[in-house]
Amino acid sequence: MHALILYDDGRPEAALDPVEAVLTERLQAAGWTVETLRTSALSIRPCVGCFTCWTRTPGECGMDDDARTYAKAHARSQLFVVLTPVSFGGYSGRTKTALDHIVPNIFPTITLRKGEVHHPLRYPALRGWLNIGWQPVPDAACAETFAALNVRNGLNGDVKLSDTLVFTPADNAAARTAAVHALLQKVEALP
Amino acid sequence: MSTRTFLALVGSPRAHATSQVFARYFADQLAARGWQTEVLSLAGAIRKPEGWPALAERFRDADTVGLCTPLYVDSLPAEATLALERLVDVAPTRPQGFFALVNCGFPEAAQNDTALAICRHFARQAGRTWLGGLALGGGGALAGQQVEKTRGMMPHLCAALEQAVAALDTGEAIPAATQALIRRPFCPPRVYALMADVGMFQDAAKHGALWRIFARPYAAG
Repeated sequence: MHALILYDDGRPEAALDPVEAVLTERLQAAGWTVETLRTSALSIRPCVGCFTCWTRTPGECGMDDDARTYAKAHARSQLFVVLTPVSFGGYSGRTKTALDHIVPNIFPTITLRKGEVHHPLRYPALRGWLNIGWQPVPDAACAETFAALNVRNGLNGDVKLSDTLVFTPADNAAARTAAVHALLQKVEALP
Repeated sequence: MSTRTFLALVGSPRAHATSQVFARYFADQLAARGWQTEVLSLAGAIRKPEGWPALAERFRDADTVGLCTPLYVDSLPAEATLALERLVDVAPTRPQGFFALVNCGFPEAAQNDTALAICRHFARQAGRTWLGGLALGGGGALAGQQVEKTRGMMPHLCAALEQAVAALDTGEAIPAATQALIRRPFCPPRVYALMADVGMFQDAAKHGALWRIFARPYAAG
């Protein structure tokens, strides 16, 4: 099975490099193939909401850049992990620049999911969507919103497991490693 | 008493967006009440850096700022987020209020709640007073029309916006009842879903893509 890690590595002060390393090592040990897309290496223009990917070139962004690289990798993954600085309880702008290009991977039509209107998926649903955030200063309210955002994304993506971790400078390396291991145990426990 | 100033920020990356309609509505209504108003695009300032200093200056000096934005993947569009990450460090020159209106293409206004929470956290971190959040479902039904022209179909929308303007004009937060009023769905979800499906199929047909609408170009193998 394939895991995609989308990593906003643009803020050196965010100590997510070791988290990415632990994540990759643990997933590979469990038999996953792991693909990491670092935002610093992606050339992506922001989504302009043109819906070309729905009504002109269905399934493909009208902009020929790494937006397509991201969408293709996402379509072929069973696990999606976002490593990102937390901006006001959401993804960082650099993360969001890639993430907004998930739109080609859903159909323009409508379905009801848990009583809400959503879009059907163009590709098989992910098994898991995990968010791992970084806050330079602990902010419980923003962390709560970040977790709620993950739940919303999970509902939109019809995933089996949505979960969130938020790290701050108060978490030492051992604590981060333990938390990542515990998170991945939930993935491994999926039926 | 000096003229009060209002800055409407547009969070949509689209030139002719529903969010632009709402931003213009707030600006026009407050201008009619004597405010000095301006509408600026966050995406525009991100794309054209020469526009950034003016936007940051207006943001610094305004008495009230309103962000009107669409919902993209359960939160704010990328360029709006990038802009807020820069604006958060722009200290206000006077006590400033901040509110947000988030609209989505889904009929359920509640789908905007995470984005509104993000706006609320931004206001707090930027040192602005949170004046409330307006969550609108089914925003696509406006189809770029002026707010007044939707009165027949969405009377609650017009009423809520009028109440919001009245509150902002007196320097008050948008009342909770107003925030609840705008959340009312204007039609049943299934009806809205049908309308949305028909519109999308028509658009795909217009571009010769109707028979490819369910294509899977990235399917493995």
